[in-house]
Amino acid sequence: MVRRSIGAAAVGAALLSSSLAFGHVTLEGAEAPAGSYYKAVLRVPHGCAGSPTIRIRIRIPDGVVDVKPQPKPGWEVATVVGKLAEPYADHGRTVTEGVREVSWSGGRLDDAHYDEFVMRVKLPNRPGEVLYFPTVQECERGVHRWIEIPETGRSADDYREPAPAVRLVPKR
Amino acid sequence: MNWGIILYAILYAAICLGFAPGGAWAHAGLVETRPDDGAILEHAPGEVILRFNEPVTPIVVRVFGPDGLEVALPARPTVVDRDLRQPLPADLPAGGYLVSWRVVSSDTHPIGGSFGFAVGTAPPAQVRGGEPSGREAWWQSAAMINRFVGDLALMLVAGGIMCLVFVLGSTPPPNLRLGHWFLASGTVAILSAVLAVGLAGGWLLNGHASAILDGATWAMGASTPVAWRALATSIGLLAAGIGLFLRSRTAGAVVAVAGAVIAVAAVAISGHVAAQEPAWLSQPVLMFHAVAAAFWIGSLPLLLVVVRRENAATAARVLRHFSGLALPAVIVLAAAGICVAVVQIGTIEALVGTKYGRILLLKLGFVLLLLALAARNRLAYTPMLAREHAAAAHGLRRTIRAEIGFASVILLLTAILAHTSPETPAAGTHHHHGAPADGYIAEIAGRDLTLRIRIMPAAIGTNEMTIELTDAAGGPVRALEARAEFSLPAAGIEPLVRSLTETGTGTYKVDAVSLPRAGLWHLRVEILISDFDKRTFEFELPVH
Repeated sequence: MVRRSIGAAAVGAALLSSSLAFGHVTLEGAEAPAGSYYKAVLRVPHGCAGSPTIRIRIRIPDGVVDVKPQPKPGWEVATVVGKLAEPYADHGRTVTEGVREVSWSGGRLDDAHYDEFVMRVKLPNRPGEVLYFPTVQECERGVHRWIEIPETGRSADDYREPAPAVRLVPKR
Repeated sequence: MNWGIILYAILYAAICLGFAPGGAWAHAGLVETRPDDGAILEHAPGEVILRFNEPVTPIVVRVFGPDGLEVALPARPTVVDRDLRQPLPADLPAGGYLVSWRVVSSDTHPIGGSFGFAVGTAPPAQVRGGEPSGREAWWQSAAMINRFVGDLALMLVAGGIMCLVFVLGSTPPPNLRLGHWFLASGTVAILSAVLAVGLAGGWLLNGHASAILDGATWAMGASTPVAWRALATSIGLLAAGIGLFLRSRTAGAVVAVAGAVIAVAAVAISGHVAAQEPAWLSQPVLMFHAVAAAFWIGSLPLLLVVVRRENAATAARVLRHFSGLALPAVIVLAAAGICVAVVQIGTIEALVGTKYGRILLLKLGFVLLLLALAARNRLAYTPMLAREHAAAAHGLRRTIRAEIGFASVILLLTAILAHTSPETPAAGTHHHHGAPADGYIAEIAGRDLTLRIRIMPAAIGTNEMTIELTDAAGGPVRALEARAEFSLPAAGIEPLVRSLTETGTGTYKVDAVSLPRAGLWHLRVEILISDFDKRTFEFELPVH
């Protein structure tokens, strides 16, 4: 009982002091410099109510280009290429197509285990903006859709399955 | 008494009060139930089993039967490893049942949900309409009467102290009798505020009246905002009491008034007026309303004593001084009251058409009578008293007594209002309520998607729900997935989740949703447009 009380008190203190979402699929590092290359690390802390994760899909937000997922042993990486919402210039040529979606499948991440899925992207030069990477976590049984994008005036904490996000800060 | 439950209830309260990021520990999950959600069983089961993906601690499991009433359960749930078992009474009659559960996972995150099953070979043959169960009505009436007694005592002591400081300009109380008056009404106010916590818990758990002696009832009450109100009222009144007898009169007056104001302003912590969005408007307005009312009502007994004891000239001076302060107070009172009423009721239709609106009209009538009496005191009797007219003191005493009577009736009506649901639609949405015969019909226009919903008959028992999705141009929109969650927070019914099936392009349906209780249900509809796009719509659904 005493130990449980202390545990509860510790958790209470943690609740008061932090808004880290341990139970959510999130991006490591809440901020990144705008206009820079960014290593996006997607953290997956659990499966779907006990069921292991077998596929991760990430939708690339508009303005994010030059997407390169990092291969992962035991997983098959795939990308969906499509028209970009905003074509951009790269060394004198205009780029109109790019990666719109990245997925890792074929693996098996147990509910009791933790893993990370990594890609390198170039962020748009729009400091102050928050970019959302809606993510679908498919499990052997069930699915988590981390796709909720907060409406103005609300924060990710108001949602059950918020989309992983990164805030763009001015370039140093 | 189970201290584990109490501890978790307190922790849960902290989480509910918004200290915690919502849903950050969404880890424990329900894996399966026995019987299955929606199962039709030949024989009544002896127990229900909920299997989670990790060990959990139960907070409460409640079962609602075919008659819409809560089923008395023979024992508390037990948990072995990941299985929660709730024994059921022997020989449940045929019909539909709803099981509402709430647990805390090992990471202290509380989660809840509901599922339904039916006994008998026929599909869930529910149900009768009806009023809240007898026990619920009992808890509600007890809470209402307690609220009335507590509010009256609170207004008398807090308003009396304000009158003492601002009108009579004397602390400590000039005589022992007044000290006793404050002590008595202050004690009643504090006891009532504390009792309100137990009654709130009892109402939520909806047990037998003797449950008021049970620790778990109080722990449940402690997880509601009523507990914070009790705390603020008690601290405020104790501070006011200390302030009255401080040696430094100025500091004493400041402390006494501050304490009195805090004690009264605490009404803005709980209740549906306080919960009404926008909270930044509702809560301060409610505070002003209550403080102004307290000043007026609490002053009356003191003025009565002044008129009885003092000579005519002194009494007239005091009354004029009071009038000078009471007039702005009444203006604040009325303005804030109108503001609250407009936010709560919204339309003239609702003012006449709903029970809440009619009680409010009655209250308004008594307020007008009270104002008439006050005007008579100010305009007729006070000048007469100043001229030392013989009949003045007698007339004043009579009208002040009548004022106290009317004020008590107003407070009683206020307590009744506090326990009556105003049934306003959710803020920020465009609802078109149909007549009860048509069920519930509403429409919400989102950014790029409009949802039309219809629930038939929006009554206790089996309901049919249909939705229609259209885009900005009015064309139908197909969804990958549509699901609805029904919950009744006031009765402790956790979300009952139902998936909708497609019946045509852009139209979806659930045939049978069992809603076991009347009340203002919260309905959340989630529409998955693509794998990565979801829209959420929320409704307040009155079930009769």
